[in-house]
Amino acid sequence: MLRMVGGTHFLVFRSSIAEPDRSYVYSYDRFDDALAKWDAHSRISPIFALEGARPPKLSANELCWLFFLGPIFPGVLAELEFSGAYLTLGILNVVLFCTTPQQCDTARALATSLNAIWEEWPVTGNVVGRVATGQCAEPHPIARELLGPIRTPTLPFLPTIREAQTLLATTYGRALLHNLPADPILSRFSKVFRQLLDQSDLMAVEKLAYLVTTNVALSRHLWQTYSGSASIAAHPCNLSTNSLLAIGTASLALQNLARFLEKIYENARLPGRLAHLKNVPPYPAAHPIPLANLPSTDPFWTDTPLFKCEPSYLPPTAEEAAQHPHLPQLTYFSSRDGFRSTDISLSAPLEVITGCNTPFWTLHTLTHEITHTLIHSLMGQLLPNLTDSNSIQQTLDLLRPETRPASLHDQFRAFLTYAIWKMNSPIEESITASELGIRIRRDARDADEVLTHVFDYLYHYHSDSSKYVKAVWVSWATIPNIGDRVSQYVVRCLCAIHSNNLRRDNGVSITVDTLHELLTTVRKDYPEAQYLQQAIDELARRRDYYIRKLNDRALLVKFVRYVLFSEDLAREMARGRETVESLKSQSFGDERITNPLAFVEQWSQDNELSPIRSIWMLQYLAHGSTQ
Amino acid sequence: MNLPVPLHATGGLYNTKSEVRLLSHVAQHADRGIEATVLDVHGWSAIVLHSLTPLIPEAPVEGQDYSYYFLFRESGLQRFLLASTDTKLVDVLLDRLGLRNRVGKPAISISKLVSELSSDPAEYSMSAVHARIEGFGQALRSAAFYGNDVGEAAMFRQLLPKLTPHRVTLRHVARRREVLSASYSADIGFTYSGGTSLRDVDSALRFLSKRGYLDWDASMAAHAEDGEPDGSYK
Repeated sequence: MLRMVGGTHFLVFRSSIAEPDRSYVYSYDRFDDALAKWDAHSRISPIFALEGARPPKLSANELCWLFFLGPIFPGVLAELEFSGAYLTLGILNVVLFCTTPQQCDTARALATSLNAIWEEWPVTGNVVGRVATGQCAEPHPIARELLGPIRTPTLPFLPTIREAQTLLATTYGRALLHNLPADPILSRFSKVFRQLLDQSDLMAVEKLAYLVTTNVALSRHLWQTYSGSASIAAHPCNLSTNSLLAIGTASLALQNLARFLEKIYENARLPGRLAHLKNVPPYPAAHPIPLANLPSTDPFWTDTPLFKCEPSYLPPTAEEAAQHPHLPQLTYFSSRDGFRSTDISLSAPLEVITGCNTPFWTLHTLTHEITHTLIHSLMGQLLPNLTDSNSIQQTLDLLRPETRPASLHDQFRAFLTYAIWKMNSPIEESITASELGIRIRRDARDADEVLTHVFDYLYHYHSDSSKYVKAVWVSWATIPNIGDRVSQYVVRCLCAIHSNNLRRDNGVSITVDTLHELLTTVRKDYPEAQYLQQAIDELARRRDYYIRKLNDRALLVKFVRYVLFSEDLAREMARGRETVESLKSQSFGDERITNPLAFVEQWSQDNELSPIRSIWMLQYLAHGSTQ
Repeated sequence: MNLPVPLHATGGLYNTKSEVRLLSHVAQHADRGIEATVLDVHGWSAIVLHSLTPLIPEAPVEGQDYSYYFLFRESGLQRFLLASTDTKLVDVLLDRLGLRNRVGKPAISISKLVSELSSDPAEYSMSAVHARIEGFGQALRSAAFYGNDVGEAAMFRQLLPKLTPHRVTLRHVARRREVLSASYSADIGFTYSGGTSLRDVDSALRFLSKRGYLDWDASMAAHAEDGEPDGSYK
């Protein structure tokens, strides 16, 4: 068992134009000491001691070595035979301090046996000698399909397209260079992205937006992950506090967590299942009725109609998967974007790196962003195309009592449209096509938030109201100036909790009481978390308002609870939870994790930020996950 | 009298064929180490039974008396709830008061309760359901289900026709706490943690009674309603 004890030290690397053939490396045990000797060429990264290692002594006149290697799971380093060992946030996530040639040989043998890439820096009196490298000498060929043209209107887009092409190819090449799987994400992204841009019904400006978003996400992912490696000296990182070794480990942790959820939802094929309902007769087949009129206790809802269309929950065959390729989201860190998703990218705030051990900056928040993407695709399938008046008229026709729906899919189209129409106009009895278009355009975002919150609560928080309320309100506390949005957050939170009470007599009132009780408890546990008192006061002061808002959104809640939710899929999400509970914080053993989400859930409960515990989590997520 | 908190109380609901005022029996036994105190919550009293010897198996404490605490709730003239830290103590107290052979227990329709809370959930959810399983001989005899809302799980509802539930724990949904466990034979259990927990028990028993799951005795109900409408469970 390897323990992360001994604190944080800092490595500082300096080169200068005045001495082009010379570079220096220093170690400090305090950041302020490193900063005191800063110059224009300084690069720095924290290193995290293993087994009580002191900062490597690099100033001595005797030859010593810094041996960087990675990406590896620290658990494989059980027996350390070095003068110091440290973890880093970089993709070269381990540094070994060697003071004898024998230790150097051991380090090389270790790196070779693990198929890791490595750099060996001989150091005498802080001066870095001739660097030796391993495992990355051979150029890795870029897959031909990544180098092909992107078919889309070219002229004004040309620089943006070229940027995307080169970024994709470079990122792919760098992933291969570091023995990371490039095909499942980058090749697939390239393929589906090219298909997307080739679509004739997509407007040029939308294509440009996709290209720009891709370039932003790829460039950030590229420098955050692969700077500070192959070679360290030649690839500085833009992030000044990690400018020496970058944050490849954090970046891979983010990617792995996103990939875990992506795989589950890919296999679940929710959009595919929904589309399949076009072949399923409406309910009841003889005399279909609007689903909005069916009470929650009707057996139709508890029969999980979306998952009944097949005998059981099955992963897609290779042929099916090939027919409906999925665009993987490109992940990156951004302090400005924070937790944010688009159809093609997913970001997390940089604060996660040193604070993901707490609910304030937990990576669990990512599930909300990933859910948004899924909900978008489902809403896109069911709601009318707002740029096409025929499509809106057809949907409106489905709402008429005299219209017989052709399939269950039609009934769900009518149900979701009706739910969105009614969420802010509960007493309106008729509507025109143009008004319907206006309502959907106005309220679809709010509906998306409600659907996302309920979905996230049911699948990713296991319908645990207590955990959910704590997680969302504590994480919202880190966002400045959202006091005017507290009321919206209260409504969304009520919707999530209400998914447990849909069948319950007086369920809306019970939901409001539950949230009030939970907020009061969280307020006691996190007195410094802003907005909580405001939410408690809101609920107490405007109880009738929130009961009305919740009633008006009950159909949306019902849609997620009884259409999109499957207990089989929820079980899939919880698989491997027992492994993460048996781990010991800040220690690495033989055990790997199979469920990164369960790991995040288990280990993000600290009240105080702890960089060491956060780095431990990121190491596990990046290198100790066997999905 | 200071009741230990929390006190995990277990006991039962009792009815009698004649008017038995348990507290007046307690008053008569004050010289035998039994005393009662009226609690702040309407209808509830605490009783303490002092003994020189242990009344239930427990480690003897040299030179020290044994004190056993009871919670008592009267509901009308012929119904009451009596609970202590061990069910056996309730029998001991009833014995000492000379009431053991004069009280019976009502029935609680647990099967109906579980079935209806599963199909039409209410302000209480079921956080534990214990059931017998018939039809598999000795190979499979019983099952227990735990969760915050057992009846909400489709799997439980699918299995329910094969189960004969005999004990259930009710959880107040909005307050998110377990309130009362009850069995078919009116054995009950709850955690005393102050006045609120007693009021919670009152509400849960009122719920059971109102919905027709707890039937004290049809011939006695009218009497109780006449006598103490606010304080009874009806």
